Amino acid sequence: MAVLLIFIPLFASLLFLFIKGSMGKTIALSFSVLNLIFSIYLLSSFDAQSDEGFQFTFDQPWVESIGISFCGGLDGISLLMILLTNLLVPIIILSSYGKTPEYPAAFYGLIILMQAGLNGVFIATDGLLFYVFWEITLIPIWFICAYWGGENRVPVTIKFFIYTFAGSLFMLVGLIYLYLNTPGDHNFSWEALQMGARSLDAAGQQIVFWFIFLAFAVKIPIVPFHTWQPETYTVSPAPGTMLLSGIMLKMGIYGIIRWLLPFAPDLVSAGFNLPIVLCIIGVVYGGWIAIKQTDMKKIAAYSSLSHVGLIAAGIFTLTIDGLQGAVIQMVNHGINIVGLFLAIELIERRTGTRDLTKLGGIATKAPRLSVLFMIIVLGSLAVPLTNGFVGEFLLLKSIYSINIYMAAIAGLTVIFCAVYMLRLYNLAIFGDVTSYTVDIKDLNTRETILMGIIALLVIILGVYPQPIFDISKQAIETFQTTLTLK
Amino acid sequence: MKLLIGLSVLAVITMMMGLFKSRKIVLPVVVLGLLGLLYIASGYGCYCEDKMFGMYINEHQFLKMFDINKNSGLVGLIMISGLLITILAHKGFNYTENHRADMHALMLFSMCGAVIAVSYTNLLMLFLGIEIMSIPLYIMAGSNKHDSSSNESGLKYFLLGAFATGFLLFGLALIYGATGSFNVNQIYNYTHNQLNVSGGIFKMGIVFTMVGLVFKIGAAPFHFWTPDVYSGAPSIITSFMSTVVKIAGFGALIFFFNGVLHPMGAEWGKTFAIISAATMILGNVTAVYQISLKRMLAWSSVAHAGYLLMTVAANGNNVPKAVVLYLAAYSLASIATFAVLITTGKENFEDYNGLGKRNKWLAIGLTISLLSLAGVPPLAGFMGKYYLFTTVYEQYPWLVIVAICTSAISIYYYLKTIIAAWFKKGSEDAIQVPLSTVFVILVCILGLIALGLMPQVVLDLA
Repeated sequence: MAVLLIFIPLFASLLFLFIKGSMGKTIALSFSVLNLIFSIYLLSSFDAQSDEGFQFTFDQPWVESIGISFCGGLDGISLLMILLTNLLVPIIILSSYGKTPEYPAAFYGLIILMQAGLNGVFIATDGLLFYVFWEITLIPIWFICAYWGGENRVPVTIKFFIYTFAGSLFMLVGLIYLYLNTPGDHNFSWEALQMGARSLDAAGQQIVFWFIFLAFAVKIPIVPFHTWQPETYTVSPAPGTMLLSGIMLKMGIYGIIRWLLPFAPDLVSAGFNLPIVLCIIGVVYGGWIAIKQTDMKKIAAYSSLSHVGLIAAGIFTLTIDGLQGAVIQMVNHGINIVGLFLAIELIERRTGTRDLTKLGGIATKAPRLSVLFMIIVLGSLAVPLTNGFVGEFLLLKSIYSINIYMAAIAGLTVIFCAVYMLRLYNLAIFGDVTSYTVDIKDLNTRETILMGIIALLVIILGVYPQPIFDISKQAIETFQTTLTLK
Repeated sequence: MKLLIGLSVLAVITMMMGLFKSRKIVLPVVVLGLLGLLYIASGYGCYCEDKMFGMYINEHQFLKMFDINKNSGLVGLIMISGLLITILAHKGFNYTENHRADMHALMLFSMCGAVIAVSYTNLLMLFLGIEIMSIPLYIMAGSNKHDSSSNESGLKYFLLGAFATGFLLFGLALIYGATGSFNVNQIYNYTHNQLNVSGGIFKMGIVFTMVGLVFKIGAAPFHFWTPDVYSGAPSIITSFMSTVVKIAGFGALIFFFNGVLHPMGAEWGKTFAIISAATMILGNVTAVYQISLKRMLAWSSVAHAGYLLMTVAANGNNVPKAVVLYLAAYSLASIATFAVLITTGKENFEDYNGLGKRNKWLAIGLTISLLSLAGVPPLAGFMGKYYLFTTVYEQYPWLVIVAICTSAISIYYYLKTIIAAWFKKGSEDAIQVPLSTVFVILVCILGLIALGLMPQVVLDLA
């Protein structure tokens, strides 16, 4: 049943080849809303108490002679990712309404194709199928960023493409290595790959871990594989940035949980701290650089680098708190970062600049924008009663249980984040009105609704995050038994 | 056998038609003829129960011995590629209006040689096949008489090719001297029974044969002719050289090394591994610096030869499957790319600026085929690469790492073309695409997608 989430957008995207003009956005919006409705339906029929692993499964042989099948299913973690994806895509499409891009049919067709690929990544339970969807998402996002992006976009996006493509190829080799170690007639299913991983010795697990890690480290990105990220986020058109930071990055984190940790079980459960250290370096590095920036998009990009570093570090602690925190924070970071980029985009559309030194005094001119922006900023700051708080708290707690010094350093993220976020908000919204912001208009109805939805989510999930716990709890506990968590 | 006879007869008929100035019906006749022959090939293969001209085509014993049903897939691939290129020639031969029929005939003769080269069971036939395939090519490469680079290409190809054939012949003669036979069964027995073949003559023979065959497929260090010959020759001929000829060359190579010399794999495997790594690195790195799309494709074809040679080095049981799948993906993508090249008639990257605005569908076709060449899923190129990697990984993990790194390089120059086609501004005149070309591109693209989703079809064939 879940397979429809892949095929509806996939075939819908073909439709866009034959559409001309601005009809595209209406069709794209309706298909993405259809997907949202469908994933909510899946949520309603999802049995969170069941401990049978994947639900809504499907399994079709694909290339039988080499053990690839078209199979997939959802557990609590992937269901949350599916919900996040299908919730954010309509928001992203709606956000682009105010500034219709050139060749709208192609633009929206690529977004819908992207949605198909993203859903596929989260649904697939076959290694090669996962890889195929993983790569399928790269093509549309590359076109979106490289065609509709800003200045200097071609070299930047080529770098992005080559980086991620090379990383993925290493993952392919890692998967092939595992596949050749699966029992019997080799087979690519998630369970078989796990069995293959258990039969590996320490050196074999090292190979698998680092090869697959490379792909996810590039996508997330984890320092030192992050150099493509700030530039790409900056030159991409707003919807591209939102897709990249809101959803695509979660592919990497989800990949670590589903496709990396179970494949090197002995390695990661034996106090393997190097990845955590890398992640924490990213936390500090991203936060430090964000403080110095004046381009709002760059600040958001580095803040994202800093936040996801913390999420990934939490996962590598392999504690229940860390995983739970990571799952919650994945959802919340998706919502917050999209909100942040949306607010930045709305300001840029009105003033024509993202430079903090040229902005100021928006508060008096556009109160609705300022208030909603404030809520989103508070969410990113992880202020209690906003959505960021619960996740960040759990993540820091999990790192603390591993090593107190690492937790102390990772905790700097809270301080850094307060500095650069409040600086951003302060310089952009308060202060004297500048020539750029003299006749700034407040949000119109559509934009208010859009920002309002995000702000509402920030508050609701902050006050009452229990649903997310409920959905993902069972999946994480199953994960615990397979990996023998501490 | 029927296939070979049919091909030759068709070629002779085509030649005659040139004599009677019936230019208009040449193409339909050739296409229909090839379709008929394809039907025969699909039915019988070419293993009918006859022994004409001393060619021991019926060698079921031999096939069982290696468990390689070696040719049906490659022969089919040669026929299909030949057919697609023939249809493409509707526009591609425009430069030599008066000699259409001759060119078609030459192409058919060359295909005849290609079929022999992949289905030999006697080394003499290997030599004859390679020669029958090459001699028409020398003429075709230089067929654009008024273009000096075409002349250069023909002459260069002829001189170097003749030289390489000399090596091949010499090598075969030495092997004959050591084993006392041209028959592959006997040579197989010879290598199988004497695992420590000490004969210097035999080994010398292998080395010379290797040189001759590696030259034909254009792998390092015998690749120097490829860029000049490929870029000088008329595009339609280049497409023929980089697909049909490459398929035949690889068919001959894998059969000789992974079949006949299979037991000695330990002795020549490493050499091929090094050749393969060198070819991948050289081909991909040099392709990055090209300013002409056609020359870039020439270098990328060198690079693809390197990927394919990995499997030859690995010498496993799945070699034919991997090679056929990869060659199918490569040929379809190359033909589609060359179809675009022939339609625009331009060779440099900057001539492709703004192609997306001039003809959307042409640009989409180009994009898909280049992405497939780069190995992006879910296209056929990815499946081919995946299959190669799996076949090779157990023997030569380092070779797979080299292949990955060079693939990452290759994405750059493929993207460069795609960027030119979509993101750069250029001429805005719409391009009219003749129906024949539309058909070829459509078949190739659908084939690439279908093979990416259902590689089983080809894997069963091989």
